[in-house]
This record gives sequence, C-alpha cells and structure tokens, in this order.
Amino acid sequence: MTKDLTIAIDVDSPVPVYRQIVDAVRHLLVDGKLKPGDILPGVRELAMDLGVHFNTVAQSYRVLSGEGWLDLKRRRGAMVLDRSRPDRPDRDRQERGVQRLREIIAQLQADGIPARSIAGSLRRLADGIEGVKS
Amino acid sequence: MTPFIAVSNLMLLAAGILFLVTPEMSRPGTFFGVTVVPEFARTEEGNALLKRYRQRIAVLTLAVIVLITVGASIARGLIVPIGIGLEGAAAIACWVRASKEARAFAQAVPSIRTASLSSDSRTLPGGWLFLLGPYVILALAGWFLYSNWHAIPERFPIHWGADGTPNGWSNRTVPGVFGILVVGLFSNILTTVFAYVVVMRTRNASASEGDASGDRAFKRATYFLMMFISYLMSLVFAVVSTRPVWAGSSQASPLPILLVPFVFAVLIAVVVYLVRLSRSRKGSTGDGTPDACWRWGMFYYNPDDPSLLVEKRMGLGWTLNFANKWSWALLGVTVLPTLVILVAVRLMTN
Repeated sequence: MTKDLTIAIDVDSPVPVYRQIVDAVRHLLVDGKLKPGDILPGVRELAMDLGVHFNTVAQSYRVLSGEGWLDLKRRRGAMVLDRSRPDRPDRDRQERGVQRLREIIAQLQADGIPARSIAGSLRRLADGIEGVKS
Repeated sequence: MTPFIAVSNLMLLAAGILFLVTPEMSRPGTFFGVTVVPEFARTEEGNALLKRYRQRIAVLTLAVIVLITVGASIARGLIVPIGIGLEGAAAIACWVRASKEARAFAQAVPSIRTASLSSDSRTLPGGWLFLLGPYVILALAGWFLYSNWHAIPERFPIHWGADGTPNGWSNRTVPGVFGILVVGLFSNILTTVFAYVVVMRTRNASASEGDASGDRAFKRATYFLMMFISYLMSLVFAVVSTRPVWAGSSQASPLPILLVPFVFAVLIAVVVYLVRLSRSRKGSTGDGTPDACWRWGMFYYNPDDPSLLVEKRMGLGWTLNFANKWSWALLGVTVLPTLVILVAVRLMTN
C-alpha cells in the first residue's frame, strides 16, 4: 500500500460526513492508489482519527461495499476488492451523476467562483481522468 | 529549619519551577488550554499573558514556602500536606485565570479533519515482543524463585532505607516471596497499557499528512519512554525479588543508592527531549478538539469524539475523554493496579 493515503473531511460542510468519506475513499480507489487486497483502517480507528461517530464511518463503508469496492469481513476490517467496471454503464446512474455535477457547479457559482475558473478546473480534471488507465 | 522542612521546601520550589514552565509544554496552537494561532506565544500579548502567569506562580510559591517554614512549629505533621495542597490549588487557580485571559485571543477550531488510510500509519514500535518484554523478565524471575525455593531463607529483607540498612522484611511464604513480582506485574500493566493506548489508540491531531508525521514521532518517543520505565521497573523488581536466593545471608541492599539520582537524571533528560519534540511539531491552529469541550483547559468531555485519550492542554502527555465510557474502564485499569501496589507495599513492609 502506498504511504500517502490521506483523506480529508470538512465537518462544517453541508455535505453529510459519511458522504464526504465515501467520495474521498472512492477517489483513491478510482485513482488506483488503493489496490485490491489493501486493508482499510477499522471503523473505530478511522472514526477516532476523524473525530466522528463510529456509525458515520460504518455507513460509509457499507455504501462502498454496496458499490462493490469493499469486502466487509468481521475482525479483518474492510478489504479492497478487485472490482470490474461494467461494460455498459447504467444510464440512470450516469444521469444522476451528471445531475450531481451540475448541482456542484451551481453551488460553486453561488459561492462566487467565476465560471471560467470552474471550467478550467473541470478541464484539468477531465485531462486527469483520461490520463488514468481504465 | 529542620532538614525535613528544608527538603519539603526544595520540593515545593521544584514544583513551582515545573508550574512556571508548564505553558511551554503545550503543542504549538494551544495556549493555556485555548486554541490560538501557532505563533501566538511569541506575540506581545502572548508574552505579557505568560509573564503575568509566571509572576503569580512565583509569588504564590514563595508565600507557600514561607508559610511552611513559619508554620512548621505550629502544625508539625500536617504542615507539609497543607503546603503541597496549597501550592497545587494556587497553580490551578493561576492557570484557570490565564486561560480565561487567553480566551480573548481564541481562534475557531479548523473544520477540516484528515486521516491516513495507510496501514503503516499505526504500527506498534518494536512489535509485540518488545511490548511484552517486561512481563517476560518478571516471568523468568518467578520461575527462578520457584526453582530455588529451598535456597530462600525463612526471613529476608525486601526494603532498604536511604543508608542501605533493611527496614522491611518478608517470610518464605508464597505471598512473601512472589508478592514483589505481583507488584511489578501491576506496575507494568499501568505503564504498558498506557504506552499501547497512546501509540495505537490516539488520533493524530495535525491537519495534514506532513504535520501528522510530527505527531507520530512524538507518540513513538512517549511510547519508548514508557517502555523504558517498564523495563527498568521489571529489572528492579526481578533483582529485588530474587535477592534472597543469590545474596545468601547478606543484609546489603541489592541496588546501589546512586541508581536513584541516575534514573531521575535520565528521566528528566528524556522529558526535556519530549518537550522539545512536542514544541518542534509543525503548528496547526489548535489540536482539533473544540475549546467548549475543555473545562478549565484541563478536563476533556466530548460525547461526539470517540477518542479514549487526547493530548493534554496543560502540560505534557495525554488525558481521558471523560465522555467516553471506555475511558472510565481505562481509568479503572490504571487506578486498580495503583491501589493494589499501595496495599501490597504496605502489607509487605510491615
């Protein structure tokens, strides 16, 4: 496992903490920084480090497990699975994702971030996605 | 002034000096238990606040010493406990006042929290064998005593005065022979449980991975200090407990009295090193715990924090999160051995 696998959450953010954990861990999974067979910290350990309730972390792990990223085994913690990506993406899921992206962009604009700056960030992210091995 | 009062006054003076430097022990970003910017201690306001605290501590320490010296002939046996209690209360009062003054410069606790998912972010330094080493030493001493039971005299010394003459005796019975090792066992439970929890079950308070490495280095150093104490205690208990077998009819103390100042000197040097290590950590604002959950900057009560132990804001080390039920269990695990040790030492030296 690589050494710098830091996740960050903002407890003042309107986004629920469990969702922030899911997003942060999923980002590391998609980027390939977390590999199949890696063991994630236990629920109590991660909850303690983040200063949040155990149930919050447990909920995040359940969501990631539901998406097929993690195998939650008793006592062994959460193990990263070799998750094959579907050949044909679920259309509804894709629509929901794009809708979520629109909401985030609207939120950024509402926070006063110029459209050009947001577009630039999106372009850089898109370049990064194309650079990652599928 | 009697030698007893002179020694007592020296101890009160040492405690006063300790209280003077206590604010310097906190991590950068907390000041008298209040979350501040890391540089605050070096600002004009920070210096002025520290100066006022130190003036109060110095005046009150001297007042207590004068009280002890003058009142020694009146209250005799009670004057020293009264003096210690007064100095402790005075120091706490000074701290609480400084803490209230520091609140004017309080900063909001950062809302960003980080954690590492790396498996090597929390490993037991030296492994399990190193942690269990002190218990192995005691077990070997116990086995040695069991194997040489008939070589143990019917009555033998187990405690010595400062001049090296025995002042506590024991008989060749199972509690008399193995009692010292039981005391050693409970002493080790105290130190090793604490050492383990600090390094494995406390969170890194820093807001970035780079800063967290400073936290980990500090925790590892604390762990090795606690384990040094544990190994030292095990060796002392092993030497003293097996003494009836290898010392024969000799009444001499098995350990040279010079060992005491040597050990104290080593411990002071290590604590000074720990303070420097703590202060050298890259500063983030505060320690990640909300100020509202700290009572007087000393007692931590946060039901939303699953931590058992958090870094102290007064002095160096860790303190319990009193809102966590397991913290009370940990308190029991540490207090119970202390009581057992005190009772056992009392019974064995009678």
